Amino acid sequence: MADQPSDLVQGTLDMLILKTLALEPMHGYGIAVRLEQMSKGVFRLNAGSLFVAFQRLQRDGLIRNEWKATENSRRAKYYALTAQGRKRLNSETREWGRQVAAIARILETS
Amino acid sequence: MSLLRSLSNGLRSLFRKERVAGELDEELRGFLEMAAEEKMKQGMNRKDALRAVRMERGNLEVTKEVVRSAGWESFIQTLWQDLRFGARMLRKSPGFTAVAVITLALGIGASTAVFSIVDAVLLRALPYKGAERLVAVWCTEIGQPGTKIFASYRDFEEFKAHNHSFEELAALTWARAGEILTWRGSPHEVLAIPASADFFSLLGIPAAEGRTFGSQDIQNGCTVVLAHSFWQTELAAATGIVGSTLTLSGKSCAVVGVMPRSFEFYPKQTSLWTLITPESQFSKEPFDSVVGIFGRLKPGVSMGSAETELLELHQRVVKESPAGSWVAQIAPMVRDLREQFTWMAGRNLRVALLVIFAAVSFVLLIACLNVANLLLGRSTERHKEVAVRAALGSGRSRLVRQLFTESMLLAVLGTLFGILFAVAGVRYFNSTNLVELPPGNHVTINPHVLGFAIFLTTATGLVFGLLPAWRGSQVDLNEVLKQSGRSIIHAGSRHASRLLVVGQVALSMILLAGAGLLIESIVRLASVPLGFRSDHLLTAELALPPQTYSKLNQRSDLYEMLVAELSVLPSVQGVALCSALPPYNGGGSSELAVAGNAPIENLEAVNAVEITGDYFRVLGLPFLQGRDFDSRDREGSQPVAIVNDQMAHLYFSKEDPIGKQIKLGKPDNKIPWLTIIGVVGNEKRTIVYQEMGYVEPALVYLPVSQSAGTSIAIVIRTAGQPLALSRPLQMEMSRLDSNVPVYDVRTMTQRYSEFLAHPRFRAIFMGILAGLTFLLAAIGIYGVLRQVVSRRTQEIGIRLTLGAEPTQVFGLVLREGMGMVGVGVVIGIIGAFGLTRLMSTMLYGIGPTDLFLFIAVTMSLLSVALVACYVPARHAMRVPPMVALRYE
Repeated sequence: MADQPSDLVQGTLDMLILKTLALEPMHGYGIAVRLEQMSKGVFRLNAGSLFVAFQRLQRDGLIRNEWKATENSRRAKYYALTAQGRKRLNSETREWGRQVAAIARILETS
Repeated sequence: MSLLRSLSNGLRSLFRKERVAGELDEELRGFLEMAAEEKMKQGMNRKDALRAVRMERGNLEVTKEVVRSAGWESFIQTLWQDLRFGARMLRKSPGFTAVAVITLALGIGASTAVFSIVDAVLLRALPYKGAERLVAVWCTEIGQPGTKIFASYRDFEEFKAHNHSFEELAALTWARAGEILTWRGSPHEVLAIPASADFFSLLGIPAAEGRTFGSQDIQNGCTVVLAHSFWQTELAAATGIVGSTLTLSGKSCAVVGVMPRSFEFYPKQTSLWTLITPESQFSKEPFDSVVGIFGRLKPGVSMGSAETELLELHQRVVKESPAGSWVAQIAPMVRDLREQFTWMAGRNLRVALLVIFAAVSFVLLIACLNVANLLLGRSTERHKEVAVRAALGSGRSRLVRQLFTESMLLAVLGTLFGILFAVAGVRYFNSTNLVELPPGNHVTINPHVLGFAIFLTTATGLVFGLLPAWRGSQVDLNEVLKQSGRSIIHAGSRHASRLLVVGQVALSMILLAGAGLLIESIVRLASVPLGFRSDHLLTAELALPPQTYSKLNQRSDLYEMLVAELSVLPSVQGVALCSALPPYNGGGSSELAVAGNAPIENLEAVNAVEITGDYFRVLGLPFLQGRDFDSRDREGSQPVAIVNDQMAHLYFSKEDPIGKQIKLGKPDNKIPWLTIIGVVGNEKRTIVYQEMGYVEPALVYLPVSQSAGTSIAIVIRTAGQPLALSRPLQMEMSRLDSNVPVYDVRTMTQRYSEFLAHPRFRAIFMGILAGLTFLLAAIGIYGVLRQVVSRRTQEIGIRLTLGAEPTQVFGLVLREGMGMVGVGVVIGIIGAFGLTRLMSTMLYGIGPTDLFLFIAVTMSLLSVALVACYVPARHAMRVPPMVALRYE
C-alpha cells in the first residue's frame, strides 16, 4: 500500500512475521507493535496486510493459532511458529543474507 | 501438505462462513481495541483514539473485506454469485435461453455424431496389420469398364507363387458361401467363407481362442475358424468348442479357433471361415473356381506397379487356360482395400457421407451464427443495463467476468445437451443398422470432433457474449445515461446481424435444395412399377443337404411336395419356387447360342432362373405369349424354357421366339438345346454396380423339374399378412425334412426396401438436417426483426403520430426482413447450382438443377420467412403511438 511509511519488499513481511514469532507466540497486535519497535517505526502496518499475511502463513502451514487470554485478560488469537515455519525462517534468513550481500557488492562496485 | 491445508482452510471458510467471519471479526476488533488502548494510555479520549487507529490501521469492515478476498475461496464465492445471477438472467428470458441451448446442442450433437460415422468409415485406418498397404485384387471384364468380379483360383496360385510386389497374398470368396451346419441335431444355414491358409496372417489378427489356420491344417480334410458372434449366438457360446468337430454340409470339420469379438471382414455376417486345401474344389478346378484376392503390398510398391506385374502373371494363366475359358476375358486390377469395403457397403456411401458431412457442417455453422445473432441482439438490449452497472461502480473486470460467466453457462448447458445428443445419435445408429457399413471400424464418438465442436460453439458464445461488456467499457457512460436510456444503436452490430441472417438463409437454401433432390429421387425410385405385384408376398430361402439330394428327381420331388403342402394352407393364394428371387440380379451370366443363327456378337448378360410353373401367376408377371411350364415338362422330356420380353427383344426382335431353340452355352457345348415355349413380361431387378435405378435383365426361365439345384427360394402369395405364414412354412418344411434349413424369411416388399435403404437413409438424414437449418434460419430472421422493431419503436411511434398508415409501418418492417431473405435466397441458389452437381450419382429421375424443385424450395423458404417477418411487423403496426413515444 502506497500510503504506508515504507513499502515492504514483496514477501518480506512474511519473513518478518516469522522472525517475530521465533521468540514466543504472540497475538496480532503484539506482532504489529513488535515489528514497529524492532524497525524503529519504519514499518507501520495496517491491519489488512497483516491479517492477509496471517491467513497466508497459516494456509502454508508455517504458523498455527490458538485463542488465549492476554495479560490484560482479553481474549486474543495467539500465533506460534510450527516446525515447518521455523525451518522456513532459517532458510529465508540465509537466503536474505546472501541476497543483501550480493546487492551490496553490486552497489559498491558501480 | 500445505495445498491440502489451504484447501481445507478455504473449504472451512466457504462452508462455515458465519463462524469464520465471526472469528475474524473478533480478532480484528481485539486488534483495533488494543491499538486504541495504547493511544488512550498516552492520554487520548476513547473516541479520538479509535479514530486515530482507524486512520492508521484501516477501517474494520474494509479490512475484513480485504482479508476475505485474499483467499482463493473468495473467487468461488463471486463465481457462485455470478452463476446465480447468470442463471436468474437466463431464467428471465426462457425463450432466448431455450433457443440458444437447443441450437448449440443440435450443432454440437449432429456434427459430432455424423463425423463419428465419417471417421469410422472413411478416415480411420482398418484395424489390420499394415492397413495402409492392404489391397483388394479384383478383375474387370475386358470391354466392360467398371465391372468388378472375382479372379480365378488359378490366378491366385500364379500370383502367390511368382509375384514380387506383395508381402502376403490371401484368397477368400463369398461366391458360394451358403452351407448347412448341423449342430446338436438342428440344421443351420451358415455363411461359410472359404479362405486360404494365410488369410488371418495377412490381416495380422490372432484368434481369441485356439489359433487361426496353420500349415499343418493343409493336409487335413476340413478345418474351420469361427466368427465370435456366430459362436456366441448360434452355438450358444459353447465351451470347449475349440478342438471339437462340426458337421458342415455333411463333412466333419475340426474347429481350431474362434476369432476375437472385434474382428470383422467382408461379408460382415460371416459365420465361419473354412480352409482351402489342395483337396478342395478350388485346387482341383482352379479355372472354374472364383476367389477374391487380398494382399499387403511391400513397403514402397505402388498399386500401379503391382497391377502391372499381376497383368503379366495373368497372361501366363490365360496361356495355359482351356480354349475359350472366361479367364481370357478378364484383367486383374489392384485397389485400396478400405475404399473397396466402402464401395461394397454402398455404391454411393462415400459421396453420401461426404455430402451429409458437408450438410452437418452447415448446421454447425448456422448454429454458431444463430447463437451469435441471439447474443448480439441481447447485447443491444442489455446495453443500458451494462452502462448503469458500470456507472454504479462495477469494475470493468467484474462486469466482464459476470458476462463471461453468463455466456459460459449457456455454452456449458448447450455442450451437455449436445454430448447427450451425440451419444444418443451414435447409439441409435449402431443399434438399428439403418444402413450397411463397411467391416472393420465401429462407429464411436470421436473425441477430437466433439472437442472441436465444443470449442467452436463456446468460442462463439464467448466472443458474442462478451461484446456488451467490451462495449460497456468503451462507451461514454454519461452519453448513454443522458439519452434517458435509449439504446445507442451500433451500426456495426446491425450489419453483423443482417449478414448473419443472409448467411443462414443462403445455407438453408443449399441444404433444402440438396435434401429436396434426394427425397424426390427416393420417392421416384420407390414408385417405379416393378413389372409384378410385390405386395402380399412372403419369401424364404431353402438349402438342401447335397448328400441326401444328389439326384435331380430327389430334389424336384421335394419341391413338388412342399409346394403342394403349402398351397392348401388357409389364405395362401399361390406358391412357387425360384432359384434367384428378385430384386437382386447377380450370379454368373450365361453364354447363349440360338439354333440356326451365327454365334452372337456383343452378348448382353443373360441370366438363367429355375422356377416352378406357378411363378408368373404368383408374382403377377404378365404372360405375353405361349404357355407356362406344366406336368408335361419333366426330367427326360423335351427340355423347355420361357424367356422374358427383354430376351425376346434382344435376340428375336424380328421373329416369333416360340418354338425356337436356344442353348445356355457355346454352340459346341454338349448341354441340350432348350425349346422356347413362352414369353413373359420383364421384372425390374437390381445390380451391384447401380445403386439408383433398376435394370430389366434378359432372363431365361427353366423348369425346376428339369434343372433344380440344391438351393432355392420360395415365394408365397397370401391374402393376409405375409409374415403370419413364416411359422407354418417352417413347420411344413421340417415335417417334410427336418434337415433342410429355412432362412431369410422376409416379405418381397422388405427385399426391395432393403435395396432402397441407403438412398432412403440419406434422404431422411438430409431432410432432417435441412429442416433443422430451415427452422434455425426462421428463428434467426424472427429474432433480428424483433430487435429491429424494439429498437425503432420510438421512430415508429413518431411516424404513426405524424399520420403514417399502420400498413406503411407494416411494410417498412416486412421490407427490411424480406430484403435480407431475398439476398440470402439468391446467394443460396447460386451456391446450390454449384454444389448439387456433386450429388448427381445419388439422384434418380431428376437432374441436379431441376428447375421445378428449385422453384418449390425457394417458394417454401420464402413463405416461412414471410411468417417469421410477419409476426414482428404486425407487432410494429399495432404499437400505440403514445406508448411508443414514451418507450425507453
